[in-house]
Amino acid sequence: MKKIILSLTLATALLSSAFTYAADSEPGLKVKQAFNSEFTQVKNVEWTTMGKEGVYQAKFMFNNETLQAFFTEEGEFLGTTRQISKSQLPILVATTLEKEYSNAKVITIFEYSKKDGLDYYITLTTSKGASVIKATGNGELSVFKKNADK
Amino acid sequence: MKKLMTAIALGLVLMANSAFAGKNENVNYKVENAFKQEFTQAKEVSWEKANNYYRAAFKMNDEIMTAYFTPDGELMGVIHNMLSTQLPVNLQVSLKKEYDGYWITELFELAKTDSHSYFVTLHNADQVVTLQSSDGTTWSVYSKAKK
Repeated sequence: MKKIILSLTLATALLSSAFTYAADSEPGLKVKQAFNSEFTQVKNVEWTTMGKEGVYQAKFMFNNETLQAFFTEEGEFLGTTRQISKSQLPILVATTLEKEYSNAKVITIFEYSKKDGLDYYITLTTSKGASVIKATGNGELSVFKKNADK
Repeated sequence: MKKLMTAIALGLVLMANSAFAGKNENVNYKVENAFKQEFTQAKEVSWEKANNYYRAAFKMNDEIMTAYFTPDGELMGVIHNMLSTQLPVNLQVSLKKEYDGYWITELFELAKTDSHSYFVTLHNADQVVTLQSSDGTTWSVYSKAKK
């Protein structure tokens, strides 16, 4: 249950500019060890904590892209997020999006990689307003949030 | 089913390098219609015909794709040759951790109507390894051979 809450928290966080982060929050040894185990050879990590959820966020460069990785206080790796372009979407997501939302304008796309799965969160606008669409790699789309902040 | 999927994948890659009859061939209505329904935003489409297949090369989201159809208009698969930075993060991290010292010679995504996989071929001085990922998070070894 805690994992579901954390997962939703992360998904909400990456879609909301209103989410509160506490800057310069150095994590404990467990979190740092977990980070180094997941991301070898990464330097210059910027750590923050997210709200009161007890989740640490590491922001860093990997393969010339900015990534965010998330860990619990106990050092459990929750997943990573990164902003991507339409050209980085899997083929089935891109084709389904263009069929079902042909008149929409894509604003942002986030990839959310967890240990057990991969989702995409696509913020788009139509004449009816803004929405956030959640997509699986196999091109299954569902509305995650309607009338979202752009 | 998994074996069939990979066989189709590798078959399509081989087809990509095999002799096609010629570019910009006329395609029948079924195939052209199926293509237009599936790839609504395709640009710069060119067709080639093999013995029993049609191949469409086109641009979508500024990326070059190749789609294969039967003469009845059934989509066999779509291939997207890609850069390693276009892979999902977990797959990039896994390659860096477990195959440090290897270099990539081939990387593509294969999509069918309801499933997709990534394939990467890696070399080092001694061996060639082909990995497959169907879930976008973990790799499995598809083949391994000594040089």
